[in-house]
Amino acid sequence: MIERFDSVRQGYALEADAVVVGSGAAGAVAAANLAEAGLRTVVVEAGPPVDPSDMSRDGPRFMARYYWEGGLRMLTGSAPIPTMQGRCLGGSTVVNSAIMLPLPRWVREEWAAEEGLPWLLEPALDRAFERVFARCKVAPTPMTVMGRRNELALEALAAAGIPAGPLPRAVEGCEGAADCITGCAGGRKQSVDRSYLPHALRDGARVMTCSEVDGILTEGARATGVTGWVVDPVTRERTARFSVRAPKVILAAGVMASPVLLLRSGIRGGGRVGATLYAHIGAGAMGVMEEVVDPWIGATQGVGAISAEIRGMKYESLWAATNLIAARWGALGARFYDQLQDLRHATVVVVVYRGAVHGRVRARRNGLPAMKLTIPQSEIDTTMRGLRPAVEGLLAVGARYVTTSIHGLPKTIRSPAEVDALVSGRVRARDIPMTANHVFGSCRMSADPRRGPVDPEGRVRGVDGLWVVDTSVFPSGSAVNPQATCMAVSDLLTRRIGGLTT
Amino acid sequence: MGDGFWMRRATDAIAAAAEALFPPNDRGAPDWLSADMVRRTRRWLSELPPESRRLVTLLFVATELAAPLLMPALGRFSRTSPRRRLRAMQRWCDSRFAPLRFFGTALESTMKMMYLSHPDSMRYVGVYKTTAHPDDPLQVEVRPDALSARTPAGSP
Repeated sequence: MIERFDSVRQGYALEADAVVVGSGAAGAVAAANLAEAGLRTVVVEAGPPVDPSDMSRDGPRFMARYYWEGGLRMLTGSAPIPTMQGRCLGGSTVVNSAIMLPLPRWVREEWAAEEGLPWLLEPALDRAFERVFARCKVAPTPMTVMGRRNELALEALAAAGIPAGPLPRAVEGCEGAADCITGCAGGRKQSVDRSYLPHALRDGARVMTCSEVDGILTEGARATGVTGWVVDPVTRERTARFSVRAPKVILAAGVMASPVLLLRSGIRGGGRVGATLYAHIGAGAMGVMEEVVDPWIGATQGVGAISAEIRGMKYESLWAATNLIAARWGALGARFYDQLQDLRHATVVVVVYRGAVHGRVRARRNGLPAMKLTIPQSEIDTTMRGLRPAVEGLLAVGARYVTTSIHGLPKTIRSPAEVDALVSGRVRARDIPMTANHVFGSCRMSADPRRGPVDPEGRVRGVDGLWVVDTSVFPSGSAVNPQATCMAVSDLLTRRIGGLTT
Repeated sequence: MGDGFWMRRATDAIAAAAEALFPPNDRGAPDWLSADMVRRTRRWLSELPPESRRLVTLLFVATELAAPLLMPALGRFSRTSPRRRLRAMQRWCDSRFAPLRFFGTALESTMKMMYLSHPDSMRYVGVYKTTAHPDDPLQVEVRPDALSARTPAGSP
C-alpha cells in the first residue's frame, strides 16, 4: 500500500522486519527483494508520489515540487555546479533519461582490485544486471522515435569518427515526447515506481511517502529503526513525527542524503562517512543547423557513444524542457527574441567524463548536504579535448554555428579553425556551464576500513543491522550512467540480506 | 507569500530585470508584461522549498539593493533606466570576476527560465509536442503524427 500525505499527516509508529530509506533506484529494488524474501518491509520516502496529472512541461515549477532543493542544489568547490536529484516516489528514476548501461568491465576490475571487492568480477553481478534489465524492459531506443535532433547527433558523432548508436533505456513504447526530465506523463518510462515498487507492494511492502528521515535509531551498536518528520509536499511544513522500528535498516537515500543521515545520527565510520565524493563532469555543444530540427520532439537522450580515445568519456544527445535547456541560451535584451528563432534548428551533444575529481559531503545544520568537489585542471583540459570532436562533428554535418556557452571562448564557433580555442588550455572549471547529476562514493565500500565506512557486503562498520546500498557505496565514478549499476548492486546486496539466490 | 520589506525589494528587482530583458517588440514575441513575469516568478518562488526560496529571494534583493556595489554609478536597480539595467546585467554575465559572473548568470537563467515557461513564449519559439498533457497548466501545441510522419534517417 502506498500511503500519501493525507494518511500520514498525523504521524505514525510502525514495526517491521526491514525499513528501506528512499524509494529510488536502489531503494525500490531493495524493497522488492526484501518483501519477496518474506520480510515485513516498510519504505520511507521524503517526497510525494508523482501522478501523470502532476507532470508538467513547466520545468521550473515541476522541479520546485519534485526535485531536491527545488532543482537548485549545487556542488561547490572548483565551481558552482548544479546537481539534480528527484525528491518523489521513485526518486531520480522518475526524472532522468532512463539510460541503462552495464558497468564497464575495466571499472569492475579497478574497483575490485583497489577496494578488495572480488564479487564485482563474479557472474552473480552479471545475473543481477540481467534481472534489472529484464524488469525495466531495457531496449535500444527505436529509430522511429529519434526525431531529427538525435539523428543529427548520430551523424555528427559519426563525422567526428565516433561510432554512436541508439542508447539502451528503460522505456517501453516511447512516444518521443522528450519530457523525461519533467516526468513521462504517458507512463512509458519504466521508472522504479512502475517497474519495482509494484512487486514490493504485491509482496506486502508498505510505502510511506512525505516522510523525511532525520535519524537512525540505535541501541548500543545496533540499528533498530529510523525516525523523522512527515512533511507537507506543498507547504513543506513538518506536521508530525514518525518512526519505523526494524532490526534491518537499509539506507538507499542517495549520495547526498545517506551520508548526511549517518552523520546526523552520530555514525561517522571513523571519519570516512562523507569524506569522499566523486562525480562525472562534462560540457555541451549546441549546433544550430540550416534545416529545421524541432528538437523538442524525439527521445530525450536517444543516442550515445563511448569514446575510444579518452577512457571514461561518453557522448550523448540531449534535450530537456525547453524552458530549462534554453535558460542560458542567447543574448540579453531584444536580440534574444531573434536568437530564440534559432532554437528550432538546434541539436545538442554533451560529453560526460569520469575525471579524477574528488570531494566530500557534510551535513548542514538544517539537515541538507553541503557538497564540495575539486576538479583538477588536467581533467578540464581532457573534457575540452573530448568536446572538440563533438563541435567539429556538428560543423561537419552542416551546423551554421555551434555554441558551448563557455566563458572566455567565442560565443559562436563557425569554422573548424575556431575549434582550437577549446583546447587552448585557458578554460577553467568555473568557465563551463556544467551539470553533475552522476554523483558517487560518499560512503565508499571497501575491504579496508581505513578507506571506506561500508564493508564489501554493504554493512556500515560498527553498527549491526545497518546497510547502505545506493551509489554512495561506489568506490568512484562508474564511467557510464549509474542507474543500472546502482540497481544491480542493490539487487545483489539485498538479495543476500534477504537470503534469496543470487 | 507575504509582502514584507525583502519581498517588496525582490519584486522590484524581478519587475526591473524582466522589463529590461524582455522589452516590447515588433517581432511577435511576448514582452515582460504579456508573459506575466512578475506574478509567475513570485508564484514559482512560493513553490520552492524554504531554503531555495530564501536563496533566490536573496539573489533578487541583492540585485535591487547591491547593484551600486556591483556596478559603480548604478543606482538602485529598479530606479535606473531599462537600458542601464540591461548593460549592468550584461557586464555581470561577462565579468572576469567569477563570483560576479555567477551572480549575473543566475539572474539571467532564472529570468529566461520563467519567460520561456509562458505558453505565448513557447508558441513564439515554435515548441510543439507529440503527446497531449491534458492536466498541464502549461499547454503547448500537440502534433501527434510529427514523428511518425517523417522517415527516420537510415530507414529503408
